Amino acid sequence: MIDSDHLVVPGSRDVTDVLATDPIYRLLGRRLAHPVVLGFVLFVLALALIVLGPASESRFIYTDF
Amino acid sequence: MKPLRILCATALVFLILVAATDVGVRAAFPSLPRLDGDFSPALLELEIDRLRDGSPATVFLGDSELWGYRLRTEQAAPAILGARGLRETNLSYEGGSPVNTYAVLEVLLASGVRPKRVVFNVNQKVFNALDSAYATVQPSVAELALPRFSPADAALVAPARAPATFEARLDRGVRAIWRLYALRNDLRELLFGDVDAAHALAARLVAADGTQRRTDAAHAPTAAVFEGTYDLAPLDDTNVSVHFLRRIVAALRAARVPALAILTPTNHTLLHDYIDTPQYGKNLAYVRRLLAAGGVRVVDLDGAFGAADFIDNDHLTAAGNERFASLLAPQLGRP
Amino acid sequence: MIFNTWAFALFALVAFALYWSVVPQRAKPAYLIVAGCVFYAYAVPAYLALIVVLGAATFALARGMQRAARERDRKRLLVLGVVAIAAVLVFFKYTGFFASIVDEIARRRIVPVPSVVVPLAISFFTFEFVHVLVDVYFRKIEDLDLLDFAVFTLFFPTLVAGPIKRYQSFAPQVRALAAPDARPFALDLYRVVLGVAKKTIVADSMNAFVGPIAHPGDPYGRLDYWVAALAYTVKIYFDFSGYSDIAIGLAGMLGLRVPENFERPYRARNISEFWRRWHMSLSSWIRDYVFIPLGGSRRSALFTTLNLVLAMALAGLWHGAAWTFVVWGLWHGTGLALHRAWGLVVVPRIAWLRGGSQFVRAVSVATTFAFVVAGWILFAAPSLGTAAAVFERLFA
Repeated sequence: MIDSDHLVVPGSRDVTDVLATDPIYRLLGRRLAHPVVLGFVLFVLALALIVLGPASESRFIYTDF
Repeated sequence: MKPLRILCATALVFLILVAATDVGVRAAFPSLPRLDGDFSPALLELEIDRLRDGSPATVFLGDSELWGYRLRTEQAAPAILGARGLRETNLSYEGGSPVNTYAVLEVLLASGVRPKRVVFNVNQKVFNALDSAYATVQPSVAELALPRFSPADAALVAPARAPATFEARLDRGVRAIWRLYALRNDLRELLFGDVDAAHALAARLVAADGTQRRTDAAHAPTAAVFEGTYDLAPLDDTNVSVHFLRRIVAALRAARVPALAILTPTNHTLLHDYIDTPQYGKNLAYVRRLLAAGGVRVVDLDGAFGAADFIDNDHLTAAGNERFASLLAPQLGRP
Repeated sequence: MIFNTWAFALFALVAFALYWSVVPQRAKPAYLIVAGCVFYAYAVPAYLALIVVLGAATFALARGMQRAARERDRKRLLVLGVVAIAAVLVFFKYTGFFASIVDEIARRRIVPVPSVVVPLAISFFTFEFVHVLVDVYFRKIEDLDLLDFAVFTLFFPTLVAGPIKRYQSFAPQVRALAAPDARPFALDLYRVVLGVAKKTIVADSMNAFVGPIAHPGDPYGRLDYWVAALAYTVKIYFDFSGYSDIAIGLAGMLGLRVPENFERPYRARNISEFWRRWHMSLSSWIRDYVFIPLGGSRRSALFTTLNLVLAMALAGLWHGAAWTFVVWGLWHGTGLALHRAWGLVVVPRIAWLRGGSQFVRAVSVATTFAFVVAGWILFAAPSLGTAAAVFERLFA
C-alpha cells in the first residue's frame, strides 16, 4: 500500500467479517451475540487469562511514554 | 436488545459464573506442600485458615533453606519430616529473614492459629544490612502483616512496593471479591511448576538445548561470589534482624507457643576466608543467648555439615536435607 | 489510561453505562469529548493542554485555509500548521535522539537536553492533525465542524495508539450517531475481550523467550536466538493486533466504525502485500502524506526507489527515536524497492513466477516471512550493535 499511487482510504469492516476466522465465532456463529452465551464465553476467556496469562504483563509496544 | 441491556445481561451471567467458581475454589483449592515462588496474599490466608480450622501442627517459618532451594518439594527437610509422620505446614519462602518470620507469625497469631510448635531458622547472612531480606518483607506477606506492625516496627521496614496507586487499590479490590483471580499466581505454579506456562516452556527449552547447563556452570558458586555477604560487625539491638528476632521471641512467649530455632547450616569450607573468625562465633553466641533467654530451644547446625552437603553457601543438597531432617527429628519428638 | 488496567475497565464500565442510558442522543458527541479528556488526563493531566491547544490550532488553521481566498495564503497556513505539528513531535520525541547525533559527531556533550516526558499518543494525534490539514488544503475535507473535530481528536478508543482515523470517514458517523444493533454490539464486546486475551495470553507470554534479543551472549545457544526471533514476531503481532481489536471493538460499542489495522500480515506473499496487511492505517498515512507528496512512483525508477526508502526510513523513525528503528525502516524500504524491481524486471521474463502455483506461493510467503522476522530483530534490539550480535549468533 505504501508504494501505491492509488489513493484508497483505509476502511472499517463489519465485525462479523473480522471474526470470520475466529475459531470461537466459527463454532458458535450468531449465538455468540446472545448475552448468556457471550457471558459464558467471556468467562471462559477470563479463565484462560488467569490460567495461561503471564506472571507479569508489559505495556503495549506501540504506546508512547 | 439495547446496548445497555446486553451489557448488563452479559455482566450478570459473567458474575454468576465467577461467584460459582469462587465457591469451588474456596472449598477445593489444594493445600500446597510449600508456598510457591510468587505466592499471593490469598494463598497465605488460605493456608492460615486451614491451620486455624485443623488440628495443631508444627509450622515451619524461615527462608529458602527450609523452603528447599533448587530442590523438589518432597526433598526439603520439612517435607521429609512430614513424610515420617510429623503434622507440619511449611510457610517458609525464599527471601525469608527475622522480619519476614515475625510478619508471618503476627498474621498467624492474629488469625487465631495456635500451632503445636513453631520451627524457624536464623541465617547469619541476614544480619547484613545489605542483604535483600534484611529489612524487606515479601510483598504478599507485607500486605497482610504490615498493617499489624507497630509504628516503631513499621518504620524499620523498607517499603515492599511503591506506594499504593489507584490501580493497585483497584487490583486489591478485585482480589478481595474474586478468589480465583487472587490465587492466579499460585494456580499457575500448581499447574505448570513455574511462574506461568510460558516460563515453564522456556525452562524446558533451556534445559533441552544446554543453556541451563551453561548458565549453571557460569554461575557455579565460588568463594568470591559470596564476598561481602556476611557482615561480621558485632550484633546489637540496632540491627534490624536482631530487633525482629526479639519480637519473634516475645510474640511466641506471649502466645505460649513452643518454639525451636535452627541456626542455619553454613558452608564453612567455601566461606572459610570470610566467616571463620572469632567475631562470627561471638555473633552466633549472641543469637543463641537471645533465643534461649526468650525460652526458645536452639539447635545450632551452623557448622554441622561438610562441603559435600551444600549446593552453595547455605543451601543443602537433597542428601544434605535428609541429614538435616534426621538431626531435627529428635528435637521434634520424631524418630 | 492504558487498556489492560483495572482503572480502564472501571472507566469503560461507567462510560458505557452512562453513554447508553442517561446521555441524550444529541449530547453524545459532547460526552465523548469529556470522556476523552478524562481518559487522556488520567496519564499526565498537564498534557491534556497540549492536545487541546494543538488540536485547536489545527482546527483554526484548517478553517483559515477554507476561508482564505488566495492559494498562496492557503499554502502558507498549511506549511505553518505542518511545521508546527512536526516541531512539537520532534521536540517531545526526538530531541534526545538528534542531540545524541550532534554529540556523537562532536565527540562530546554539547547539546543540553531538557528532561521531558513523551506525551501519551503524540505520535498518533499529530499524524491525525497533519491528515486534516493536508486534506483540507486539497479540499478533500470540505465540511469541517468543531464538535466533530473535537470528537475526532479526543476519541478515547483510538487515542492511545490508533488506528489512525480519517476525518472524512469519521465525522459523518458522529453526526449520525445511533445505537448499534444488538448483534454487532455484542460481537464488538467479544472482540474487545478477545483483544485483551491476545495481548495478555499470547503477546506477554512471549516475553519468556525474547531475552536473547535484548541481551545476546553466553549462555544462550543458537536455538535460543531463533526462538527469540520467532517469539518476538509473534509478540509484536499479537500485542498490536490485540490493542487494535480492543480499540476497534470499543469504537463499535459506541456506534462508530474506525479503520482496521491488520489483515493476517504474515500470510503476505511479498513485502508490498505485507504493508497492505500490517498496520494498515499507518501505511496508508505514510503513502498519502509522505510517499505521494515526495513524488510517489510517477517519475524514474531510481526516484521511486529513493522515495520508498526515504518514506520507510521516516516510518521507522516514527516508531521510535533510535537508529535501530531507522535501519528497520531502511530494511523495509529496500525490500519494497527490490520487490518493485523484481516485479518490473524478473517476473515478466519468467512465466512460472506469474502462474501462482502452490509452490511459488509457499516460497513467496516463507521468504517474505523471513524478511519480516529479520526486520523485527532490528526493531526489538536495544542497539545496532546488539542486533548485529544477534544476527551473528543466529548463523554462527
